[in-house]
Amino acid sequence: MGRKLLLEKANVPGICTYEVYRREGGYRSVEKALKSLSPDQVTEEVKKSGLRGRGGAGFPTGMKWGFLAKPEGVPRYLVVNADESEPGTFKDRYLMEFIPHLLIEGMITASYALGSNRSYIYIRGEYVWVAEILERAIDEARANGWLGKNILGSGFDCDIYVHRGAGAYICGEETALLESLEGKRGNPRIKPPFPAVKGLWGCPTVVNNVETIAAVVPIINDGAEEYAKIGIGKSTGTKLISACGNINKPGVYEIDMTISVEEFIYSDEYCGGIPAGKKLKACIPGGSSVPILPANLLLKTAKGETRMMTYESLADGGFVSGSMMGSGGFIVLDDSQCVVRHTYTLARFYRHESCGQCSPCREGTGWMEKILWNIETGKGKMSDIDLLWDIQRKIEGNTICPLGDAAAWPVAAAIRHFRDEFEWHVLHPQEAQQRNYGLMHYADPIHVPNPVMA
Amino acid sequence: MPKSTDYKKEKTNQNMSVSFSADKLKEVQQIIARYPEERQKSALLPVLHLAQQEFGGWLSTETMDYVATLLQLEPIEVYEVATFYSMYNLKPIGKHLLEVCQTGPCMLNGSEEIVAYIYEKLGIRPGQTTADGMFTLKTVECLGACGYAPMLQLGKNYREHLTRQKIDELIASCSGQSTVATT
Repeated sequence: MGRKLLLEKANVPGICTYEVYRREGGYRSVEKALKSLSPDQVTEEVKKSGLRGRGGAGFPTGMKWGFLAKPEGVPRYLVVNADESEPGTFKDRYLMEFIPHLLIEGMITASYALGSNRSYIYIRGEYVWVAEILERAIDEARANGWLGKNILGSGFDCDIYVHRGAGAYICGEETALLESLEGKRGNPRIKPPFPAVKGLWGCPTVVNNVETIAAVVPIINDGAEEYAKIGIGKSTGTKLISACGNINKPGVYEIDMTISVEEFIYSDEYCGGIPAGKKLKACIPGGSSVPILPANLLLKTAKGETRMMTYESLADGGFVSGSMMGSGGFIVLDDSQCVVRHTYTLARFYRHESCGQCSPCREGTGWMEKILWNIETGKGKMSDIDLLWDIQRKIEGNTICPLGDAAAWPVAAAIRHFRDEFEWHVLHPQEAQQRNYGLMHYADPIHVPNPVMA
Repeated sequence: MPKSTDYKKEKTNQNMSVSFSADKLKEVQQIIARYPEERQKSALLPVLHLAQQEFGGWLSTETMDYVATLLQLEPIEVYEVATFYSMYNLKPIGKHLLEVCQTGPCMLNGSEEIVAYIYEKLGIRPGQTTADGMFTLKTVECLGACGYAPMLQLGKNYREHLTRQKIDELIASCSGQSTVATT
């Protein structure tokens, strides 16, 4: 049983109310920070904890906070990114729905560290009821003196507001999110300047994921060293994984980053294996944008080592034979699923969500969707596979924001690892309408060459 | 002040008077107060949500112009936002909007069968509304409920782990033919 830091109390009856949350030890981190630590000391703790951004990029949080510009007389802002819309990801929703005060507590402590007197939660528009839960929690926190003027007599003022988006994946990108919060279209900004210098309304701003901010609570309560003891290497602390697709127990799991991918999929404590006697074919371990891996490369790295649920191990082998931790959206495909069709739905998603600013993304996502649809429906040509490869390469790295990369990677990885399935669709268009390619060799043991003795 | 041309008037729903009640105007002021002074443009997304909810489930040009006036914006600033975000409906919709998620994880769990079954039951394809104006079907991209797939959004709520039976119940309760509570 792994250690839980965020969801440990999530099942305590009534934990979404202030009384129960406080009784269970809630808001201690705010007391500790405001009464005994300076803002810089809080930032220092977060740096020492090794906490990395939980939204997808995995950037060290303390370092991000350290970049925040602090010009005299200019307000600074903390904005929490609750726009969760990466396919496969639903962990932040779980956290906000079941233990909303954890986010509010983390935000107050983080706002204190950053000097933000007005902090925002940008939540995706569809999570209407979650926004209501958060607003209730904020009202309760305010009524009990944790928000408002001169909190705990410290002289620190802070308030938190919920801002609902209106349906746009791109607003999960931090500068698009800021544009949206300013009441505009969610078009990402060119960086630099980074939000840490010029963010919300031109003021220095930190944008952090919900889970990242929630993790500040145990870091301040137990100390950075305790937090950093959990996990392996640079993957410290716990991570929420939202598991979905073809597994027995889809849901949100908090893992300490010491378990293997195999254990995560097959253990009853987590996903509980693949249903209906089917076999594992492929998996996207970190949200739809990260490379898909066939079963064999998912469970073992190309070097033949056991793949672990850590940032480093999931990325082992780079994009040639590895993937990414990403947002923790763990999507499992069983042997009855078609990788071409699945990739097509993702391509359609990115075409729909492209903001349209950059031509490679605006045009390329549409082309990829069309070509994938042709291949899937038996109208594809062999040259289409190379064309897809060519298009994704021309999108990647050529756009203002990472949505271009996010659209390119799933297509690239699908072709890289499942090229024979694409070719089978082209060569057997009729058959491909009636049945799927199946597991084939995707779970076969990988040949690992013996290391050459020097 | 935004000008209303005849062309715009033609497109709007003449039966709907576009003006918030005193209560709703108070709510608008509360929304504006969430942002620093002079930053009331930030209130645009939430106020559009409120307007859509109040004025028939969609945003007519007249509604958008009204919101522009309230927030002291140029109408174009409202149009460009309303046309960008997928939750704003720019055409009238049925009384109940069924938004079925169709992205990867939902597809793996049978969202296509759900869309097909709704067609079987109601005779509408994505983008269509039933003749009686009761239901509109829309397919949408990932709503963040991947572990509870297949799913759809109906009003404020998510309906998850969908089955044919759940669709039957949901349609029946929306049509008022049943007392089965589906919330």
